[in-house]
Amino acid sequence: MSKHGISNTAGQPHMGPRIGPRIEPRSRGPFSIHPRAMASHLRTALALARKKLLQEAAYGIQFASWFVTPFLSILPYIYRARFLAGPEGRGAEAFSRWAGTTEYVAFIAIGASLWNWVTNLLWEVGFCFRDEQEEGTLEQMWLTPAPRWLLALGNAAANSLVNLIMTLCVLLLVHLFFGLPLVVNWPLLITVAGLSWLAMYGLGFIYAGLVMFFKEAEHLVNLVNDIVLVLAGVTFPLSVLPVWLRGMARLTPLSWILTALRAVLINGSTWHDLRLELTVLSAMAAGFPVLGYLVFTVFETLTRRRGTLGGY
Amino acid sequence: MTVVSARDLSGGIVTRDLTRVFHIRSSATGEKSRPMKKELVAVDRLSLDIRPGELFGLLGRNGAGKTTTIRMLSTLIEPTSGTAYVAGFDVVRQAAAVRASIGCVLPGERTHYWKLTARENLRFFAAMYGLDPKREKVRIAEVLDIVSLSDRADERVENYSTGMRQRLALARALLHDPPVLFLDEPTAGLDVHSARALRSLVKQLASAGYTILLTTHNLQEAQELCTRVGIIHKGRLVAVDSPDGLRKRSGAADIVQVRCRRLGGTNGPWQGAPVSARAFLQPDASPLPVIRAVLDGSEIRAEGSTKDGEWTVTCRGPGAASFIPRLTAALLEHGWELVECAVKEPSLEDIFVEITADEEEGAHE
Repeated sequence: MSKHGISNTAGQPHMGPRIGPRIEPRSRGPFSIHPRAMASHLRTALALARKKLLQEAAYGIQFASWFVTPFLSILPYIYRARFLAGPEGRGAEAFSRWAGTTEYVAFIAIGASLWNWVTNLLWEVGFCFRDEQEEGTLEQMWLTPAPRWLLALGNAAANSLVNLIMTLCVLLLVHLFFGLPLVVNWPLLITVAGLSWLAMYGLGFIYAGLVMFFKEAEHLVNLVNDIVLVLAGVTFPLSVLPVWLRGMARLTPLSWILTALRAVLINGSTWHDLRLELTVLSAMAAGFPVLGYLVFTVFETLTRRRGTLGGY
Repeated sequence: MTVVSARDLSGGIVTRDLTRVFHIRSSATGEKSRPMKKELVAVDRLSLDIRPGELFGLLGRNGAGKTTTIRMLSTLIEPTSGTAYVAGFDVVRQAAAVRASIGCVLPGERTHYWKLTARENLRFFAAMYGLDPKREKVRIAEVLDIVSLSDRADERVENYSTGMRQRLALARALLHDPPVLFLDEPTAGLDVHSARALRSLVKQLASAGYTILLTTHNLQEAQELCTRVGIIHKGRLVAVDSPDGLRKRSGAADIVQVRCRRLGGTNGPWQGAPVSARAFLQPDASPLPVIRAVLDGSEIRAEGSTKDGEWTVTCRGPGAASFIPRLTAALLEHGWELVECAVKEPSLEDIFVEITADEEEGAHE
């Protein structure tokens, strides 16, 4: 078939089987910090991100909707809040007694757009393997020696980038249309966002394992999604919740994330003001990825043992 | 069988008592429709030695255990028990090293990203395999050239034909230049020309020194390509040899095909002979009882079919050819005209049918 025949990479005839594989960087182990291994991991993550973006860009309208839908989705919340605030926002004073700020548009816009960001990250990591499973490409990806955590990370990297752009777009649009005041301590914002990203990435890994094993975990995920929507205080301050629900809300990672991000973006809080939130977020950022990796590894092994990796 | 240790076959494939049991849940019908669990032994104590550089064919019916074997060897599913080494690495304990040493062509067309071009697909998998970026471009161009897709490399895979997608799958399997290739029914669903082109490519790969495990139920393909074949039936390996070796040692070593019709037929040269009177009295008679009487006591089996008044009887078994004089005499004596009598070389298909039929009978006994 080939006009040159089959040859090895140096253009020489393939003289015989190579005994054992090439010593590639990743054969040093999935967690190697050897520079070559790190470079190889980075290339893999970038390839996954590139593939994801190319696939999404192939569906033009869907791709465009990524940037429009999040803004449209928060408008009903904002207008409802305006309606409840009454003419000229006279009710904002009452709102501030609950939320600690009269900036109810900012409060809701930040809550809803960050909810979009965090949940997108969570579900995208959780469902990235499910998408491959449904497409029929998961087994082919699993046949490569790339570490499993890296496959999830690469997919999440692309989504994180898109999500970040989406969130910034939404905040910019809210700023333009509703005069959102943004008093930002950038280093603190980046720290809070980074810790939040790690925590949510870890949780996403747990979902990825569950979805791979149970296949129909979407319903479980939707249920959790609805519960968290209430407990995280996405469009309202947690102080309006009954005491017992408020206690449960403090157990929800997203409530800590939203509290910290709102404090940075609206109130201009300092490092000192947020020491409790930063401590909790740091613990989640350290613990959830480890827990997520362990849970994912267990379910991935169980899936291979059951022989249902390619099934959907 | 010579027992060869895994280390001796570090570039090949070795399995010992490899077993895979699936637990299947089925919904029961009846008054109490409680789901039932049953065990399905997909692969049963498979022991196999495939030498480095060998093109080995695994033959079997649908559901015989071929694909499950490949999935275990390629680390996609874990064995229930037993051991397997691929290129010298344990498929359970050294799964990542196994994956770096193999290239796989799995069945189905959905193993590519359809919205990406062939080149983009290969670029993506080159990164997954950790290919050196300096080599990546050159290697992608090479494998595209090997499978003759260079001129269509920048088209989306969704525009490809089935044959092109299968060739792209082979290109992807060759990307990291692994010593071992698993080809799971690579020509299934291809038209004659595409299948022939792919077979030719597989031949080239084998002569280039790759160790290849090919599963197929196309027996002609196995006969044409493989140096050795294994026949797997209901999860068990029931025979392993070269196609010629299987022919020699098989019970189907001799095949005698006899075509005959009743004497006194309209076209027969013996029309009107006195002996034909007997034949006219039994127009629906079969020559099988006569033939079976001659073969009685031997291991030869006779099967026949009739069309337009002519019978074709196939006798399979060791030494069947030596019965030809007695068969012809007996048929003539009982009022049958011999149209043709030929000794046929058994094909792999004959042997496959013979062996799997034996196993089937054994299972029923």
